[in-house]
Amino acid sequence: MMDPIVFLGTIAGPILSVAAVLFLLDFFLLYIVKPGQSRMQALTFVSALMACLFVLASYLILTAAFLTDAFSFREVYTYSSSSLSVLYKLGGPWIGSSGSVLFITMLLALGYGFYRARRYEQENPVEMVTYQILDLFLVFFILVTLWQSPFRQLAVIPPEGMGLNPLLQTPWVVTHPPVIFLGYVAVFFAFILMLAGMIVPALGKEDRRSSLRVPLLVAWLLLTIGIALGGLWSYRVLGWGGYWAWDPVETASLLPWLALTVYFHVTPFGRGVRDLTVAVSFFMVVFATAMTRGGFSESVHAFGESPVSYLLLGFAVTFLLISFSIGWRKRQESRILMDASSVSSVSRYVAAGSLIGLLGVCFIGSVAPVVGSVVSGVSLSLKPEFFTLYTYPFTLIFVAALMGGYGTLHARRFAILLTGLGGIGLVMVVTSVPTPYPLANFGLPYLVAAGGVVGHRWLTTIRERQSSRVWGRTLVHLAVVILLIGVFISSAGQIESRPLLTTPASDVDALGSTLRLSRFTLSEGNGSVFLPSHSLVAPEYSGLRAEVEVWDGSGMQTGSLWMFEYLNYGIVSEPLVLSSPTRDLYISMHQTNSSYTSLVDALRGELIPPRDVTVVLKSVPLIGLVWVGTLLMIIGVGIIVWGELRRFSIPSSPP
Amino acid sequence: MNVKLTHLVAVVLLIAGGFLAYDTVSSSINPYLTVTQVTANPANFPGEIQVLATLSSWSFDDAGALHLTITDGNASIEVYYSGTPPQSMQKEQKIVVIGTLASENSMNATRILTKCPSKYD
Repeated sequence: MMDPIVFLGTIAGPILSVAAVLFLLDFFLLYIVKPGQSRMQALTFVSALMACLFVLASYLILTAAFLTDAFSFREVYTYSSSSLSVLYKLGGPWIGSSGSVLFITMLLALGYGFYRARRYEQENPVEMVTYQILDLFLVFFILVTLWQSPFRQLAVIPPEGMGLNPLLQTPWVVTHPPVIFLGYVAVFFAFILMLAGMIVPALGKEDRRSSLRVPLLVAWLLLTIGIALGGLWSYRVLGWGGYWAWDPVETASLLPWLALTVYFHVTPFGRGVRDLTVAVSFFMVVFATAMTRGGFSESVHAFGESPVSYLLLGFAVTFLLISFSIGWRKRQESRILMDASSVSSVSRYVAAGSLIGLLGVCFIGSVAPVVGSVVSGVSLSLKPEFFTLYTYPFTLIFVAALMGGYGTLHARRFAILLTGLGGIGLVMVVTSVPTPYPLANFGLPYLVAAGGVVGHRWLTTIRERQSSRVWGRTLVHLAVVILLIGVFISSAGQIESRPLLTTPASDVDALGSTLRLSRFTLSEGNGSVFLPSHSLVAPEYSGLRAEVEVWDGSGMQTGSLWMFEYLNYGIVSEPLVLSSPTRDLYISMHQTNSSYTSLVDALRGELIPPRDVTVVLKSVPLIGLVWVGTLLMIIGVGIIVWGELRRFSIPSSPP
Repeated sequence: MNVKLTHLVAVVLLIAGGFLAYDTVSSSINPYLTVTQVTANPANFPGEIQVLATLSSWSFDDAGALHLTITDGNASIEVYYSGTPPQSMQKEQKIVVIGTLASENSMNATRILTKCPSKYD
């Protein structure tokens, strides 16, 4: 008799197909339904709701497969094992490539279901079109999911799974991806609402446009949190180049966030430009998904290349062109109302322009290797220095615009201030103070001055009890300045030792600290995984722990360093981060021939301590400012979202 | 007339910007080379290169530095690397080695990249 979960796996694909058919049915019924036809309206409602539930059911089947260790599912076999923590099994569906597309589809379907249920019997022509676009979106994402077949079953059921990669066995994996995907879905909703408003413009135009602000702000908040979590994960998990490395997938994930940031700064350019920015944000979300899920270019984060990336891009370009063509036909004259004599007025335009420049650099840098690879037939990458160098001037222009926007100086005095700061920057470049990196040194005086100006304005907004929108916005800008100071100093001033060979109870001196590994403790094989190369079930990992004492000028700190040998994934180190207000000391332990042999022997149950290991120390100055700035930015955006939601929930007073 | 002049200026700026962007990007583009490409014409690669290859073996010397052998099935290169060893290094795994050639079949690496764990397929 067939195992129930295996049976459910065989019908999960057909359930999704039925959902797609029901969404299509809803799409066509919405064309013919007329106002007052309550039975027809009920039919379309039931059809859409059933479809949403079917999508949810298929997602739950995949989750159940992970929870019950159904290794007949290719996804479960590849990303799980019986000894894996339940927490990571719950995250299993969005960890793999095909499961993550199903996860996005499920989030979109759930959002659609709730939206539709709340609006039931209040529909107007704009709502009808919104539903139809959502139907089309969901049909497309279901087709992509089916193409990727997350429910694929193996012909021979393995006795165990291959286990989850150790670097993913961390709470970050259950926070970072879902938050980012939720942000993507919020952008989809905003774009769909805008497109529907463009197609049926006669009704509630103003309400429609203002209702866009909530999903866009929520998306901005979620993407800010998601990117921050990703940076923290990258920083805490050794080997991904710190909190940011301009990897193609990292850069792609920044694009939607930058596009949304542009949206909130292009108000002076008029509605047409803002609508265009929403469409661009949508495109960037799909582009980022294609980069991450489709593996367009070689990246430390990307999945293998798949035709899905081209499907996704085709979908994004189609809807982008549709929105452009409607927007062009119904365009209104955009007038730039800049007061050239006011620094504040000019600064608003300059800030928007610099953000567009930043978006352009990141987009060109992401697309160029892909286009180049397609044209030349050779796999290409772009040097990270490209991004550092070409985002730099736009960043400084934005910082100067913040000073101009929040300051009260007249044009002449403002120009003198900028020149003076440039002079101080040049002196710092020549003297290599405070970092050895000239670009960082030149930019720091501008950042510090901007921090002073924006910080002063922020205190004024609190004192004068200004609206949450103004208060939150000023806090976000202050946070950006703090974050940038942290980025400039931590990236330019960090120093790393070479791998230092060390034995138990011997001292190692590096970067102004003395380090001693006092005791090695080996742990034998834990967990169980399937080893495909030998077709056997074996322990998942063994571990080596070293107690460490670190002395620097301020005293002694202690902690533990870990190194693991995972049967299917090799050696993984778990770093120790000793934080102080001025710097993080980042210590990691690495393999030598002796410690590698000890860990492999420990997998077999033989506990022979290693003779030696290597340790690497990295000193990262003022990294705390990066996290403080990020946290303040999240709080600032949160305040704006809260204010906006309150504004929507309070009914306007009768005339 | 004014409108036409504005359009002309915009088109000229767009073309100039396009050329500038192309020139800037093309100077920062770095191809992923194969081991065979590198070993066949080592003189063509005097500066920094990046090689995408399969890791065939590795060991550490007495100073803790890493010695790798990378291959594409037809040729192989010995790599010396004294930086922080990458995570999750395994035989038969695709890795990217960035560095300079020391001889026709040996290389001094400045960076070694393995895939982040979300790369499975």
